Amino acid sequence: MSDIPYRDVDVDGEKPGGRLMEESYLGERFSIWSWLTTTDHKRIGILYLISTTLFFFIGGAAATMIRLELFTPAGDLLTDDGYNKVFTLHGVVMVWFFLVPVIPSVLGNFLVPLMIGAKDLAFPRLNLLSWYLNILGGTFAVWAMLSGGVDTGWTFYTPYSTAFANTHVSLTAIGVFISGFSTIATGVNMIVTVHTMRPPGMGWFRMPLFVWAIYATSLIMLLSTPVLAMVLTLLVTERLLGLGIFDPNRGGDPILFQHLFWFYSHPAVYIMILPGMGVVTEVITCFSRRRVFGYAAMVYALLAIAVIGFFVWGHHMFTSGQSMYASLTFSFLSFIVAVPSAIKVFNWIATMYRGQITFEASMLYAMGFVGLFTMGGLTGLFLASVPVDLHLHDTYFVVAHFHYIMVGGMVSAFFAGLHFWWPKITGRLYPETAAQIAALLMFFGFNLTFFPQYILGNIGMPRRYHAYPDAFQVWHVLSSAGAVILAAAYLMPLGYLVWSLIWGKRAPSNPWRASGLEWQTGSPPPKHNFLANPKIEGSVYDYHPAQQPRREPSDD
Amino acid sequence: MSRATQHGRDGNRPAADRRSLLPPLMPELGVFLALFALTATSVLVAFWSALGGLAILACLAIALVMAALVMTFFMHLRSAMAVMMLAGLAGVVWLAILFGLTMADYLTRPGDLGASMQTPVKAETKAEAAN
Amino acid sequence: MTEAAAPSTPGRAIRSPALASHFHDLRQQHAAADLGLWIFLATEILFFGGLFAAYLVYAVLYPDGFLDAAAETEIVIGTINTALLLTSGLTAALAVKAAGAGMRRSVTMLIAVTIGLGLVFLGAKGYEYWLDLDHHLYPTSPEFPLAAPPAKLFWSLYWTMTGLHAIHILVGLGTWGIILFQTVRRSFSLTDNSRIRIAGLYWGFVDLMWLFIWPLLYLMGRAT
Ligand code: HEM
Ligand SMILES: [Cu+2]
Repeated sequence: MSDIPYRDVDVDGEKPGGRLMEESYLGERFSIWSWLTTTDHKRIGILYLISTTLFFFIGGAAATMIRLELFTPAGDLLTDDGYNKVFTLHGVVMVWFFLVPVIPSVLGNFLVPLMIGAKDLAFPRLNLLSWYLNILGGTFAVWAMLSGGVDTGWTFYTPYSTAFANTHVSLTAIGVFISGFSTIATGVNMIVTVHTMRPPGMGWFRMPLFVWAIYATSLIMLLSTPVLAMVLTLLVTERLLGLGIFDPNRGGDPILFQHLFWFYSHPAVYIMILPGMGVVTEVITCFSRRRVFGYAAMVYALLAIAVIGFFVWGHHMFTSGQSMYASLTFSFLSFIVAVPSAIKVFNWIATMYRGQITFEASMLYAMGFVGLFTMGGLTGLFLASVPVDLHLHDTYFVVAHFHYIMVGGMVSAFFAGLHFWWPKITGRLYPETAAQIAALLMFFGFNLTFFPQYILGNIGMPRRYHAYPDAFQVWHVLSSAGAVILAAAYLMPLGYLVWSLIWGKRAPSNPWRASGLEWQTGSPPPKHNFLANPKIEGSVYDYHPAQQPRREPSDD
Repeated sequence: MSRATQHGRDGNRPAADRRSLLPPLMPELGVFLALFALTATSVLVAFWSALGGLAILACLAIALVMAALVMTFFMHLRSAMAVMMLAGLAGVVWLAILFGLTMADYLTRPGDLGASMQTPVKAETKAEAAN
Repeated sequence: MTEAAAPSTPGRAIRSPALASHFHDLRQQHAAADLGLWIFLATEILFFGGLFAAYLVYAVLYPDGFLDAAAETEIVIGTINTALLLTSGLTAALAVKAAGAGMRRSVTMLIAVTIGLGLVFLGAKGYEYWLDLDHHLYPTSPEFPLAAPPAKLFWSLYWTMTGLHAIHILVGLGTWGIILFQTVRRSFSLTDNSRIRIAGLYWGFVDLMWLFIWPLLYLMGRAT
């Protein structure tokens, strides 16, 4: 381990005493320019934090309008077209500019090098480029959707999107295309870093599970995003150049678009959940003071989800005219993908079992994740069964399903991670009680918002409509009321986290007494991450006191 | 390029080697000739009428061989690390997943292949939808 | 990596100015660069893969329409272009080899030839496009000469595939151009920097894609 020349990094930081002193990455030169041209993975993580937060609030504003509109049965707030444009804006922004980048690019960027004891990601300039591409794509798409609007839904289904939609489909598609490069750049960076920059002593099976989760996510990003890029290219060439291959007038098959789109987008839903799983594993082990249950099983489950996730896309197309044999195959494969997800849920619970659990805010968020993810996953299984899906397809049941996973799961996990590592990132402690209240409020508000949507779907409320029969109103009102609470719960952290930046107490380097290399350096970390070689000893999740080792049978 | 002598200083290779106009040509040149031969074969096969519409399959098989040669020798996969081969391989395997499961739909649709699509009816066009 | 070609740092690879501060040695840095590019190539395979999947589906659904439509492409130009690209693949591979040996003169010449061949490829491609347009082989042309509707699918794929491939060639040529300039200026060490190897890999990939585009678009439908 000692052959890593950590010391030859930065000679200007050397103080006369010989000991290497460095400013924290935040303290050193505070000009806007130095931030906009930084190649430090920690600063880029912060840039991403700011930009994804912005996109989250843009998407959130659209969601607010949707819920306001659905408060009454009549379509009184928005026109038909206006409603279509609002839910498209919501979907596109939330999926591509918030959920996909949020954990890999904010927390992953900040933490992966720290967790494996490296000085940076393998390609720091590519990392910065990926942020600019994300911003460029996002600005493009948001501008297109605000100035003219797009009414196709985030799925851009043909032939509507190619032959009929008269809105800014091409511009939006180009924005998403550009952000795809950003995703790929992040994916390449993460994989190469994990492969080539782990120090001796950190074998594959000694990496923190968060790093494994980012690794698995990057695999999915790299293997799926290019196909999205191509299908968007085909969409744009069909609209702008007349090079139509989905055009039924020429014998083209619009369902082919769906195949290519879901070859990306089903794996993409795992891009939007695996990083959350990684965060939650770190948080739960820490606040249960327990070694993670079944480390190897957790790793294999992540990889299995990443791979099997590519075999199930047809479950979005049961009603599209796809061959029924294909539907049955896809249905069967979809049931298989639930197995590794279930393994993970069981292992989190087993980790907590007999642990010394404390309920810090991040632990509350993480526990919320486990419950909500389970609900979302189980209802996914309902939908994966062909006859049930014929009843539920394109209803609010589907909306509830994926919001349980993407909002209940991923957004909770992001908040869990943000709170857990906030002291590390900023060097400040936030007020714990306020955070706990926000976490509980979020769980409550979330369920009130989305549970009624399961019922709505089951009794026949289709998605993407803004006027509905009076009989549905009760549930819609409940849902909108929940959304108000949820909105408050999302705004609270914005308040107290920003507050903590100025008035928060200074954080020690390891406030949660957590294991993991990132806690061995200062809070906030110095510019080159570690002043001395971090110590890699024992297993990653060494939470048991040394005098009373308790070994799990599944330990490795 | 008259400064070529400068190279003689560094490294331990013979100076003549550094000044020469070309690096050792083998095996790349041999592979190149093989690729040309395969190109010619491919053209011949394509025009070989006995094969009819299936000629394209033979041509694609030849293309696979050529691709393997290019990857191994021109892209130096021979000397690359195992994980790089794995990366390339992953691309190909995932392509197979895409082709395989997509065709699983088209090949099992009811009726004759293409029957479900062969009747283009005049659809409303973008311009007409505008109003 | 036993030697460094930059005259200023003879022999001391570890202190090479090419070494970025977050790597510990050039071996690690080179491995990272190569792996990064191979992963990028895997994504490129899947990018073109979406297009090939579309081709596969429609060729299986409409074999006759595709055979007829493909017979209209300019096979002579297509085949000449195959030969040009294979030759440029050879010169690029040799340039990589020469760079590994620190042979700057040779690298300069080989890259220049590679660029030349790429430019001729693009020229031929442009001429071919001109001929295609002259024959109204554009799917939206009112005088599109082929009757069967799927022929338009084929020609849509033709323009998309060759167009995207040409964009890749352009990117490659740009990269080679910059590298050529830097090689002549001696602004980087041939052996310590990865850029020539990286460009060579990318160029090899562009070759590779053409090896499949060529039979699918030009050799199809000739045997009748
Ligand atoms: C346990 C594994 C899962 C199964 C079996 C599953 C199954 C399904 C099925 C069958 C549908 C289609 C419903 C329909 O349109 O009729 C669906 C939709 C959806 N699922 Fe899942 N799902 C799973 C996990 C996830 C995860 C982890 C996420 C996100 C992080 C997710 C996000 C979505 C989204 C966004 C849609 C709707 C797409 C749209 O039409 O707009 N699913 N799911
Ligand atoms: Cu899915």
